[in-house]
Amino acid sequence: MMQTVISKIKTLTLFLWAALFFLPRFLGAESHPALDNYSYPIKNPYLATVVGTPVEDQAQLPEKIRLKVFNVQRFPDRTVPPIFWGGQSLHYTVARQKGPAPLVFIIAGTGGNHFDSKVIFLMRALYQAGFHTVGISSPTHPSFITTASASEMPGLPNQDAQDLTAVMQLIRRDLEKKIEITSFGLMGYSLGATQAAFVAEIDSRQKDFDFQHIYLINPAVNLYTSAGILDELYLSALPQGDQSINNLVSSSLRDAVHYVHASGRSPLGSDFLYRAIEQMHPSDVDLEGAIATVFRLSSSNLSFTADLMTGSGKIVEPGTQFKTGTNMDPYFNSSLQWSFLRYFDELLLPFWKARLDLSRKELVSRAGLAHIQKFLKQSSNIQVVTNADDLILGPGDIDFLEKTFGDRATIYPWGGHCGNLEFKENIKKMQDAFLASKAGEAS
Amino acid sequence: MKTFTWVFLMVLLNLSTPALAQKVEINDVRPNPLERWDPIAPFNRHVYRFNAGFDHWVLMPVVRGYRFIVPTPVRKAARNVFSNFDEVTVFTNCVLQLNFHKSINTLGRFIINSTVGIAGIWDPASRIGIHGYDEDFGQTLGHYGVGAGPYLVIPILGPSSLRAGTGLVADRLMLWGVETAILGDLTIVLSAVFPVEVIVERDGTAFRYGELGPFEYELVRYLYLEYRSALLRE
Repeated sequence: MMQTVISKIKTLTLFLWAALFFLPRFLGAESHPALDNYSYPIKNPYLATVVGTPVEDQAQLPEKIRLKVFNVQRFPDRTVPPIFWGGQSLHYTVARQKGPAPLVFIIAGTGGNHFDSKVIFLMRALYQAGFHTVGISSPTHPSFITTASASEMPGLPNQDAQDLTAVMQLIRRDLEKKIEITSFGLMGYSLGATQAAFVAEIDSRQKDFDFQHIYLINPAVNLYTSAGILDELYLSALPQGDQSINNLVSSSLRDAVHYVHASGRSPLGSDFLYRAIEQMHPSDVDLEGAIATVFRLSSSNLSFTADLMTGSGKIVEPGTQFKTGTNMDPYFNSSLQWSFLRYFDELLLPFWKARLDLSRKELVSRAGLAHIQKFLKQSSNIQVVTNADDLILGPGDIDFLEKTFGDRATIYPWGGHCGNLEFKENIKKMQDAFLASKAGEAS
Repeated sequence: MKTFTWVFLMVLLNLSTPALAQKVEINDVRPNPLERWDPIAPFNRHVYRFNAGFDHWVLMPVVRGYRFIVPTPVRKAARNVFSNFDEVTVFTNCVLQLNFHKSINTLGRFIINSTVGIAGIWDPASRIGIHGYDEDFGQTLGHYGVGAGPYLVIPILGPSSLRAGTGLVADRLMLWGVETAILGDLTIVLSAVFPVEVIVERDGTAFRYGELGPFEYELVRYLYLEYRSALLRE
């Protein structure tokens, strides 16, 4: 009797061992060996999204690289109201190698500009790996809408990608006078990653750049889904809307000031934010509120700018003249009431309905990677990385990425939305991917 | 230099008076909780824009040159020296607020950092647990119940309020008084350091104008005033 039990246990243990040993191979986990002991330290997706990567866990990159800000003019004759600084010029950031090298374009995420800290970090990382890099503002950034968007109504990825392609061509023309570019690569994070995929699709037909490698970091699989998630986050974390923002800001500032006093004045390094937030022990609701606030400011800027530039008349009476001294408070107030979905329904949809005769359903389907799934499936030079707990992804989105990209998809177990972008392991993977494409091209 | 700032501020305040009569915006929507009282807004908005231009065309090119020539540790030391200098202001205001604990603390910091820390290049005081405070005459006025007054964007120096701006001038005059008492005619030499201080401060500030979109002025105003009131409550 006893014997049978022991042998049963033995068989079971053996079976378990075998399962543990072999199953991962069948499940394809062996293609991501790094994920078994992934050590990005923050497992709370909201905290990760807000604080990013602690300095000691970030990739070691050259502290100083020479960044230059240049500009291109896509529509030199366009009238841009003086409240948008920079006139008709779209600024971009460049890090140039001394000799010939491949160039990688980096597209910022929602509302981000070419000097966003994430863009600069990625630029430094690729500069270290021997690439020229160019940082481009998000097509949803007010400066991009006013200077480089043909429609002045961003949000339809294919249209945004056409704008990006045009801008990249102008940048390329200017830079080729100054540096030798051997080939091109493309990268984007968040919304910028979604747009990069559409840029790649256009380029596969137009062959302007013939990108060697395309790297997508935490893309929105469908803009409409992500917009809905972020709006929902705003409603749940900030139930009284802008009044809640006010409460959150004033209590966080109080905590921050207290933290600064408690820690002395001099040790404020680059990890100040992380340390401060760590000390402040924010609740999940506060973190969600902070994320929702940042995205709401983006949707406000986007809605106001697109409305004004297209003369849609939802926020600004068409024909209103703006000068430097114009009182913007009423517009700030009403723009703050514009969520992403409201933008989608009240500005984007009527605009494209009138021009392309698109129904709501068609617009939603065009706003996602599924629209170019066939292309993404067969393009071996496009790679995607995201996190299992990325908060902008909806149900089924991870499945979609795995199904579409196969072993070109890496799903990190945690990291929130772009929280692990600066993590050493993530950066190394990205650098290696571009270096491999460079080596492949050389051989 | 200090006198110039003072005169400048008076001119500025006089200039701003007509703007107070600016017509009131009729708003049918509920008030925005992020909006702040700003009676001289048209003036402020122009100064804000001027500051952005000044920052872009004058200050930042100089700061970039400074960054190029001076290595990082030296720049950090420069920041610390000015920050140590500031302790005189902090101390005076702690005394004025009759805060015994903060006064002693600040005095101790100043003495330790000026001697052991060699004119404030290093911060040994923090290492042994004597941390700094951030007090100025604007906060002292607030401490005694003076309201913040209207929001004020000061040319070159940036966001402030009438109270904070007045406090700034008072602090400067006080420092000037201390310097004169100690150095006599040599004070003029120290005054020449003021532009250097502006450059060193700018070098340590990550803010870039024109990146926050069409409502940057409103957001900066809101965050600045919230920050000041948080400081006052501390």
